[in-house]
Amino acid sequence: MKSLFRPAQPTSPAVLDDHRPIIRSLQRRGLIRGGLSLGALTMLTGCDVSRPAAVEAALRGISTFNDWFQQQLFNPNKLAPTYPASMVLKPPRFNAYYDIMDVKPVDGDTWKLELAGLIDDKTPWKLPQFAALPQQDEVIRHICIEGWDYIGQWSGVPLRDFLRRIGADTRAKYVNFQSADDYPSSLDMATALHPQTILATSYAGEPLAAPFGFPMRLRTSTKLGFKNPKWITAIEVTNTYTPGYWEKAGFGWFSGI
Amino acid sequence: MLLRFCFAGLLLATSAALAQQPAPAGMSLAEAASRRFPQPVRVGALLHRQVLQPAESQPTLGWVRAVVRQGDGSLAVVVAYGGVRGVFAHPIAVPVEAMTLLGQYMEIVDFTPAQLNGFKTFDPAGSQPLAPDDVIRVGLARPSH
Repeated sequence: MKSLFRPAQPTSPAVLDDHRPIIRSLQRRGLIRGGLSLGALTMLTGCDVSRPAAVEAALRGISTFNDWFQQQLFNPNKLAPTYPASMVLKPPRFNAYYDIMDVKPVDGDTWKLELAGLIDDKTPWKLPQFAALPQQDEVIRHICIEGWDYIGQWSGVPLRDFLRRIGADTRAKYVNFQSADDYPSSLDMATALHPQTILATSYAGEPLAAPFGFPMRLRTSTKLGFKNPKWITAIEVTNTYTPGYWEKAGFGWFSGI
Repeated sequence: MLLRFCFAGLLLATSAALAQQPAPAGMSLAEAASRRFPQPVRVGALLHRQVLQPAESQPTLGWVRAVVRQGDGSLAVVVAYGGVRGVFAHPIAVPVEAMTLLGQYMEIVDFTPAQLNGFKTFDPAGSQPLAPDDVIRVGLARPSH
């Protein structure tokens, strides 16, 4: 017997091909991964799936809702669990969107951190200036969207202290990052001001090694691993949303833990 | 979190294998290893680590039993290889340059399982095990999935 819910016109499989990149990225996010199929896609849109724009809008809408919902749940004062130093993995786990052999080390002597956007003092910072600031040490769990995790010990300047020092407008919505490996990323201001969000310059008591982000990377305890850019070269405070490397591929922007 | 792990497992189980970047053609094991940013690691931290094949499904090849200095001065990782979940495994000595660190795991990136099947069973005579506090350098890998 034909289902009452079956569309009058059969769904064209071409709709999956049209949206392959966004579906592939959404598949990595778990919830949709188990059930995404041509039929499920039809239900997601609730409209004419032969119109690619409608399908994409529906998928983007779900992702945007996820981001908004997570932002509402986020408690800016709640600390993530910390662990004893004996549990720290040495060395940490390497990950990037390219192979280890393609890592291009950054010269700490010539490196500088550029500042842009809603910041009073945009003078670039050099590495020794960061070393002179009060440091914070934290042993936290790194959780990757791929399903693996490890406990790491990171030290550096709390991002909120740095933002206040340079006169950033902390009422702005976003803190964007640029990196030497062309991996843009963006944080909500609440996460940027979270007490466990730091500009890390050392790991397990040693300066960061080249493949882990020397001279500076972000470490925040409240986000998935891909929200922690390495080899940071610039920080921008802004009210304009700019998608990061993986967000352009369809990953959720907020990506809280 | 649990959901995320479950779905990740589903993905791993159903995805096609993708090889980790092995030594480029014409490059020696040592040259390739030097380009994997070798990191210092305590021998004791390597013992009992699971050894994976660099494929998307990450099959287990064995477990680290020891790190030894061989008669020619080279370092090798003794891996309890093969068998079924470690039962009937036999030790083989894999050059440290052919192995990488993948977080809490190690991988053998420059030999396929077919090649490892041809390795002789490790004979401890003529080699010296390193102490747990000795530090060696091992290259890195990124996840294969």
